[in-house]
Amino acid sequence: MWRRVWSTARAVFGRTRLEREMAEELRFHLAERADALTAAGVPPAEAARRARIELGALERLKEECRDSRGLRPFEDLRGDLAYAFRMLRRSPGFAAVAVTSLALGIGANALVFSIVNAVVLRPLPIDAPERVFVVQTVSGQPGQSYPNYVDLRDRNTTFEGLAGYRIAPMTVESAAGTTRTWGYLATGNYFDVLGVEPLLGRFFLQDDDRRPGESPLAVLSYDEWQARFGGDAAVVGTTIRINRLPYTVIGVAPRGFHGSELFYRPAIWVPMTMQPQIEAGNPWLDRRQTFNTWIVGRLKSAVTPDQGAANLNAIAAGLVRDYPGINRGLKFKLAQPGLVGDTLRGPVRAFTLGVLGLASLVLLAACANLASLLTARASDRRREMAIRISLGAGRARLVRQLLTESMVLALAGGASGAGLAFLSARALSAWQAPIDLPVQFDVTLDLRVLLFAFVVSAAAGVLFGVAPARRASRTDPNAALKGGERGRLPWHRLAFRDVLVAIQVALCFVLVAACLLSLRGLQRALVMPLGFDPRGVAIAGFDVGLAGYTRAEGEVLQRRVREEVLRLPGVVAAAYANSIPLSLDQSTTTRSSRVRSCARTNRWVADSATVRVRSSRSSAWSRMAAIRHWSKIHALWCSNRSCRNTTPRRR
Amino acid sequence: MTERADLLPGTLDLLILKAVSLGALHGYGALLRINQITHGALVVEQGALYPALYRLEHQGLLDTEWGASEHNRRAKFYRLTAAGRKRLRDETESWNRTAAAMTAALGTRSREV
Repeated sequence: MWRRVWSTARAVFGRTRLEREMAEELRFHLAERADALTAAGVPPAEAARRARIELGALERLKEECRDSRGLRPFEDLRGDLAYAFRMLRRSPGFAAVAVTSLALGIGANALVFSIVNAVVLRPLPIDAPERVFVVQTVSGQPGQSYPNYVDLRDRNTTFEGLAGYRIAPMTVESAAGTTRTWGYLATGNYFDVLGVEPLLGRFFLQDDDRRPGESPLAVLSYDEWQARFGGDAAVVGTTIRINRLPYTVIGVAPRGFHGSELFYRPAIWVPMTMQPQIEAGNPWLDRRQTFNTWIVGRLKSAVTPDQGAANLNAIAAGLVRDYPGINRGLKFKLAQPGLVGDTLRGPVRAFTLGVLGLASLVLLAACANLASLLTARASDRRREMAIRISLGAGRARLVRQLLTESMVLALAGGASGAGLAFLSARALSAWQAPIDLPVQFDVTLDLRVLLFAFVVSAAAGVLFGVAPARRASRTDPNAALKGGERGRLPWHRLAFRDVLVAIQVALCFVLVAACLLSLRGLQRALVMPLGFDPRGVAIAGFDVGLAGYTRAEGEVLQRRVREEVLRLPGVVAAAYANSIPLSLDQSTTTRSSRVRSCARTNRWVADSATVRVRSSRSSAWSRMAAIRHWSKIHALWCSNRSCRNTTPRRR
Repeated sequence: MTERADLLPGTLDLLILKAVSLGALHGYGALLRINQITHGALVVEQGALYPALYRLEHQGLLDTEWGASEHNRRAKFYRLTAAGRKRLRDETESWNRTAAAMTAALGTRSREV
């Protein structure tokens, strides 16, 4: 069996060689035969002629030899492909319309599927991801208190390791400057549990967990290492300052590893035991009532998720008994990691699958469109079909020819669609949400997406190709050749195209309605009354508390900055506040108890009246609001020595 | 000269295998060899020979190799593979059985029934 496959494959791929050898072999035969005849007394010219007659028609003989090698389907395919390309070249307008509409349909599907792939299907880039689970409460809470985490970690028997982590902002100083940076607090076994190897240096060790505040270490993400340290390997072992304290860089995480949350791009990892220093003023490592630790664990290889959860719940029962007030109703479940456990998984999946549904409707509409175009073309090609049938082409052979044409269209459309999807996916991956938190998705076209695009294109080719092809092959050659354009049952063909048009209109109606609905929703969101007028407002954030200012110094600074900004030409008003409307603001909210309500009434500047901005007496995380001339404000800050530890941010 | 007979279906492949088993041959040589070993009694269509050779090669029963003919022309030589030898043995046995049965059947006289 394999020998025949091999023989056919050799014949297909070594086609020129096979042809050459076949011609040479037959030439040899003719020469030998002619020699024999000459020897028997036939004149040479006559001998050559007779040798040719005895052997028979050469081309037919070659054809039979090719068939013996199992080449028939491939020869047919070659012929069909060449013919299909010739037909499409002859009607470039049709080809362009067909390929473009397919490219849009397939591109949309491939793009949406690559998002589904990124957030729902693709596992984290870690070792044996199928055994890694997030521990969350049955009610869907991802956070646990650190003491609860320690108890779970030490008492369980089913996990190779349980690691704790927390998203945290910090102020990082290095030779490259000072920035507010988002990172992770992570326990010493964090990288071991996730099964990641360092690109450079080392990761945290269990020992780094021992004593709070005594492991000033940092691991950099690949992106941060590239962006901030220029990919310099000598960074390992150097000292950077985080929240004014020195930390040693011990390692760099591999490229593409962003921790266990799909949407979040941390720049740095710091041991969990440094929490009191990173979140200064709010130490919670020994507080059982602060549920700030997220837990991820790796099951032992022979343990099922159910056994793991049962094990944790047995421990939870003990925790409830010991701390009934705080841990009331504590019950755990294991969830796939990536989307804050799986708290966001339901909505994300529903949303992306919904969009995928819409995208497939787009493709269906494109298919219906193409099917009716092809049917129209088929009626133009009735004479051609009729001639081929009268020459003896079988129905199946005609259907195959026409299907080859639609497959060529579909695959060309699929290839351009995949190209479109690739470009948009790259743009989407590079896009950063305009909020403080580094939210980013890794949407790339991997093999699975390409396979998806290929299968979708092939399916589309069959979908829009089969019906027209079958209809064309049913052409009655007699009627078509005799009666000119209109053959039998013209109403029949029209009815078929009418159905296609109806399907197309229905699909387009659904799509247009869905588009308008979502546009309307977006539009509403844009004009939703905010209670103030955001036009012409520029915002800058700076963090003087982490830069070591005392509260009194911070107040002085804030007042001075405001006065300086007000002096800028074009600035109508300026104000500072601990929180601005409609923004995520973790740092401020954790300190909100300190904020007193406005001492002086600052108006939200560009606005005529409504919003009163609270002014913060604490120096923690203040914001400036000013009008226009952003670059000048920026220049002012950069030239102002007392502000050298702050970083203006544009919102 | 013996009277010529038509080839029975399926016998061409067997004849080619037999001819080639006696020594590597090019296509034209196979034709001559068959003519020789059948004493010219069986007619092999020249046009039918090559598709049969290609088919047997495709089935892995024959191996090919380019070499020089007796007139010093470049020619493609066919030789039997191990699978080809086995096939020749099996087919020969089966042919002999059929032939013996046919001979016995056709030689039957009415009083032997």
